Amino acid sequence: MNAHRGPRGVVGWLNATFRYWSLAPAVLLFAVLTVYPVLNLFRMSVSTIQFKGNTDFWSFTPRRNWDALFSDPSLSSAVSNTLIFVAVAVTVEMLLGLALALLVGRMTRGKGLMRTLMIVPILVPPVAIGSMFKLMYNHDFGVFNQLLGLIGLEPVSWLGSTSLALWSVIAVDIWHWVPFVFLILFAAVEGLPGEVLDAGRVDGADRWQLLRYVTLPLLLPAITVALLFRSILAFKAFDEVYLLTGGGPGTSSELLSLHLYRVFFEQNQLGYGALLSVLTIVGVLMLLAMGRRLVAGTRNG
Amino acid sequence: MASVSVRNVDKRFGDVVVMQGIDLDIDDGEFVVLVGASGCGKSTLLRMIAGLESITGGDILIGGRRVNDLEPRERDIAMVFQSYALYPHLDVRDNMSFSMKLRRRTADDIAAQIGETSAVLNLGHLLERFPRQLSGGQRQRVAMGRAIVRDPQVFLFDEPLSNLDAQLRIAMRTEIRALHQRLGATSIYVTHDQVEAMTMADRMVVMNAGGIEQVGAPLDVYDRPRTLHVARFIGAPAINVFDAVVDDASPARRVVTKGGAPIADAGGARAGRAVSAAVRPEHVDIDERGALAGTIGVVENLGHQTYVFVETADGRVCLLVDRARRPHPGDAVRLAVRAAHVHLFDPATGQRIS
Repeated sequence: MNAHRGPRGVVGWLNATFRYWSLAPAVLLFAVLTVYPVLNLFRMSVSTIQFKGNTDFWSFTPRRNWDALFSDPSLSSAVSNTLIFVAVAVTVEMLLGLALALLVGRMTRGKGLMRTLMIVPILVPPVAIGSMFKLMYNHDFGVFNQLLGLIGLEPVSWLGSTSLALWSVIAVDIWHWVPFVFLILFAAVEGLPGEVLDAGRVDGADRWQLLRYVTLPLLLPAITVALLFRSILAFKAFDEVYLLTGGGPGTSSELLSLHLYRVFFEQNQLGYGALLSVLTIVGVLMLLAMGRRLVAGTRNG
Repeated sequence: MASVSVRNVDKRFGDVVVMQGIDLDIDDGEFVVLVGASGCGKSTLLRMIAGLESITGGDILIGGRRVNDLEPRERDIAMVFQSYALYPHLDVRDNMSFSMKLRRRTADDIAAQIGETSAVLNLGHLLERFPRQLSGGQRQRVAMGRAIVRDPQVFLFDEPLSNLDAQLRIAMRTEIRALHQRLGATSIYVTHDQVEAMTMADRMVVMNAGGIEQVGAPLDVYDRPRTLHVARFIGAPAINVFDAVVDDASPARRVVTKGGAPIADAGGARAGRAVSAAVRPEHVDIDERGALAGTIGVVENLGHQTYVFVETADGRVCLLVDRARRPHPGDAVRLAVRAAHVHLFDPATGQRIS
């Protein structure tokens, strides 16, 4: 038994534990840059923080932050706006991205061109996208209203109307992120096993049945990944709405992330902001867990 | 069950002609093997019969019905693929019942059919498994089962055994033949393996470069290849081919190899013309009065038979010898070719000279 052991003593111990020590730098980095800030966020969420001169003063006031939560007048609209934003934008992006991926997958030439074109919106900096669409949405000279004018319709206040502003932002998000979904799903479509689809056709499936019973189940892993990414990123959407409407008019297009920004940096309520952040994280995690269960359900069912 | 007719079928991709004027008639209940090297068009022909590949010209008939414009699902065929092409997200039972569910058969009906087929193929204990949990041989059986439950007019096999190891391949070969004898369904089987073609086919179709070279019963094709390509492709070890000329000088006109050995009667061949003279290993003997001189190079002992490769002035000659002869590498030998078994081909066109 002992004959099989490595060298004894310090060297032996170092040899045996070397792999753990080699993880240390990564663990350290993770701890300093992720674990500590998250813990600090939890601590902030039960504190009131005030600044006097160059120093910050922390006091333990959990009740106060919870009270702020229930007396926050614009919180409910931020939550419902965010849910609408995520549900509509992600659903449309998934459907359009999937449809595009399936269509381009059938093309015999020009696939590479499509792929290249689709990367462009992802490459454009969000600030440029915001400015671009702000110009296009402009009431007086924006291209959308000019087009409406051409067919004899009245100009529309895309960003200035409480009923439209959120939808205008959603439209930009869709434009921005359909290509992302497309690229993920297109890669999966290109990797579909041709003979399995042939087998489905021979087995008697028409085009729709083939999509429903063979293609979609085969694409499910890629669809799950795209859906997961898009949901998480949509919950954090900030730049588009900040640049286009600033959350307005009123709070009609204010999303949770923008609201958080306001609480932190305009109202200087660091403790309450931290509490909101924590709750947002918990909420998103719960939604993702539900989504996973749903996907697992369809896979087995 | 049905006959299959391929009439003057063309296949073009743009300007590229892949196949032209393919004609083939397959009888009801026949087991036909399409065989050829990769790229000869055998899989394309099969996929055209299946409807997975369109045809550019001609007609395809299944059971007398023209199916040119019918979708695969409307042709009443079943197909077994090289990769097995099982649905990875469905277990074995659902893989096999997929086609029946699409046809809206009753649950009892499906259960009965699955029970029967899985018993025949010995799949009963695997019904709840997913394809990824099966071995290659098991996947192959499931693919067969999925085809059998369809009870189709025609079975199409696209190199179904290529991904199996050698022993399993031989076992499945026999099993597929036995299955065919049981079911009696018309079957078209594509393979690049001439042994599979020889052993399984009622009739085999040898294909080359997008065309059909010869159709016939395996032994007829083996004994009387119509082209040099068929002669070379069918039979292992490969047939010996000599560059030769018809010599007018000799009293009886003889076929003489480039190395100067007379090996066959010229028959009707014109004097002075060049020919390719082909003879199978079993028709060459070691004989001290033989016309070809050479040295034994490699000896391959297969147990029940021994092949000897002899280096001669006309190149390497393979022959089948009695193992009792105990041939040794390096021995000088003379070889006699059985003149009656020499096939003559035109070296330019590859066509048989009667």
